[in-house]
Amino acid sequence: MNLIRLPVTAPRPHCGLWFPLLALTTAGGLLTIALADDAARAGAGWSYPAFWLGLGAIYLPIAYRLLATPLARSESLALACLLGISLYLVKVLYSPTGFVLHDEFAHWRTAADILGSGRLFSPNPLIPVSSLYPGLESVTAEFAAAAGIPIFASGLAVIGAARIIMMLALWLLYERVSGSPRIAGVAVLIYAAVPNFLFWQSQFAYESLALPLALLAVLALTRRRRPGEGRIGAAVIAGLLVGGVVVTHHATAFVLAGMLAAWWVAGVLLRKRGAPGFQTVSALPAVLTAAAAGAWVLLVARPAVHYLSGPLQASVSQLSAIWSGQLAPRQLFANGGHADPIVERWVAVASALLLLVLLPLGIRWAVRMRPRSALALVLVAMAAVYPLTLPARYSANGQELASRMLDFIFIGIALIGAYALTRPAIAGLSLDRLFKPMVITSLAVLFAGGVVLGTGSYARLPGPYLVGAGPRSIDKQGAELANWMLSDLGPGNRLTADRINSLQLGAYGEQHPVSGLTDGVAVWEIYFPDHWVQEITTTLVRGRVRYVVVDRRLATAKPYDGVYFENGEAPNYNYPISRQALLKFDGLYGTSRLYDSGDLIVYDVSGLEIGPPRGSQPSPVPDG
Amino acid sequence: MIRAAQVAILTLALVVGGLAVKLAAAGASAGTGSGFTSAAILPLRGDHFRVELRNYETAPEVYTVELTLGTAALETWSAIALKPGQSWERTASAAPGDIQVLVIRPGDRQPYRRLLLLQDLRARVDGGLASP
Repeated sequence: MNLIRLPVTAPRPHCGLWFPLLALTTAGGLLTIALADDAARAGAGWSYPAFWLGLGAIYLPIAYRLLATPLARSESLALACLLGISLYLVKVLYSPTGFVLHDEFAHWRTAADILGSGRLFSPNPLIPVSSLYPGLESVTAEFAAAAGIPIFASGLAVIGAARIIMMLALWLLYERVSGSPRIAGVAVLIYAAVPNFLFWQSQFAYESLALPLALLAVLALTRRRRPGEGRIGAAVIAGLLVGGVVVTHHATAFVLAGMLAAWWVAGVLLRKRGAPGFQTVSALPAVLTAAAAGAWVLLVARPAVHYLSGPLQASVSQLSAIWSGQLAPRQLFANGGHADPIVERWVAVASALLLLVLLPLGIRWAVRMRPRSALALVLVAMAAVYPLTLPARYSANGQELASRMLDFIFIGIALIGAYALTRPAIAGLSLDRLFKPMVITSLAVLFAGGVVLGTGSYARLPGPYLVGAGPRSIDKQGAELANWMLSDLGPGNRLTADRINSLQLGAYGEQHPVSGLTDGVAVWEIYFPDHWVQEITTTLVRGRVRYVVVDRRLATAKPYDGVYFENGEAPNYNYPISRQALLKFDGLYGTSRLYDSGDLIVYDVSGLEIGPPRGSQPSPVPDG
Repeated sequence: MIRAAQVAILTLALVVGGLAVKLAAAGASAGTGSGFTSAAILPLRGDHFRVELRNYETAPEVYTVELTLGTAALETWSAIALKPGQSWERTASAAPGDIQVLVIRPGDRQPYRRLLLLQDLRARVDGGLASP
């Protein structure tokens, strides 16, 4: 089955020098961002505007060209791919030598376990469900082994390929649903404004592969068959893709099942109303996808139930507490007390307001336009969910949940937004033809707002160490500690550490950082008290903890990500954590101080359980 | 003519993109920190242990390592010169007790790194971790 079939029609508009020139401006944008990254590492103030300048050099010229008429179908599709891969490279340029985003470490560990042992489903202490959905890591490990390259390089290649697949699938899907290459191009521009597009969807994580596969599966089902053409080819391809999604990512598999079910229901409703000409789908794809996703959870990935339901329940309870006045709402655009620049906040608000204006316009026009497929109604329904995600941002858990949901909801928003921007406004001419600068400005606001909402200003550029600040907290000191623990203490030691150091220790160090998620141990209870209390020993013993890792930098600031250890930590303690709390392990009987790199200290606490012999005195280590 | 121009511009775009990746890789390899020295003590079989130093600073450093057992001086290694990326290690042994390691740099008022190994407890916990 040929999914990408470009029609042979003559005469066709020719791209001339447009595409090469846009590739050049895009490369210039990437070079500007590389310079900004480099300057940010040295703390240069101009790095921040240079970053935005680079993003603008990538997005705006492509947006300008995608709004041009006439535009060759192939050029529009190629520009969509250029946009997608360029924005992926922005993330690569951030850290081209190693992974730095939170989930990447967990998936690196799964891939390394597969590569090292040749087996699937090894326990993963960082994100337990990662190893139970090994689609991405299996492909990465296979490619790394075949090509003889490290997991990091293999992962970059796999996610890069996934990004191109996603752009192709999105563009073709929008074209199939709307029947318009022009709407497809604009819709892809709007999808690039999803807050997670720049970094989250570019990371080495299961959704980054599962979402493109899911879109490809839907695309396969939208293929219009010629008379006499069998269904088997499309069904087999769709089935394989659905299988790939099911073993790669839990949430994407269930969303895909939901989309297919909604598509079937929309088709049934349209038929009942006697609406002709809509492309529909039977119930079988939805039933099979739901059955496969459910069976995988029941037979392989039972922890996924708690993993998915936990944040959902927490979001609901937090939002209801905020609604009833029992809990103060989360301050928007503030990261651990560090606020984003005021301009960014206004741009983010403007992007949300713009979407709220575009959605009703687009939905009305999408329905009037009578799209080719009943799937369009599903996408309309998905887009209509958007306003519900806005209040969710006022709770910590709700914000995270809303952010993840937008990856899917934006599939609908992008199409509806494209309908709104290309709809006839005056004398049959569309908005983008009458007011092209205004439309490009709107797209720029949507895109910039997405970037702002997706990643805090502190984490968009590399730079000196910051406390609890995601990629900004990943540094060489932590990596060397992980290497030392693996080489000198061996793998699999149970230890406690803050959230960031746990990542490198659990991945590169092959250790077992205990946590509330995997072991039911409230790690923060060990660190926050200023003085040693018996409960700490009890927690350590119950968690069978051998080593305690202390990062003394934690006491210098509040965590940008909001937590030092894990969500819900330390409700009765002040931030930042006190220096005294972090130094209390020194001089404690039963603790050896095995490693010291200035900021990172490793204590062996195995002696705590034994207790001091009679008449002994502790040997305190004075701290500098 | 257009095809030649297209190829030329696309080639230039690839060169510029490649330059961006190369620049980013060089910057990321250089890192952002001011450098550090790691010191470690590793219990071995019996009453042996190993002291390790690794220089990840941005310049060569000279260290003195002082070893004490309780309050008694046990060993001193002086003038340990390490360039960035170099490491140093020594294996030693001591009777059960509290072994302290102080790493000192010339001109520093306070020890640069401190370690403590409860040698007597270690034997009671698991009898050591690795072979000397």
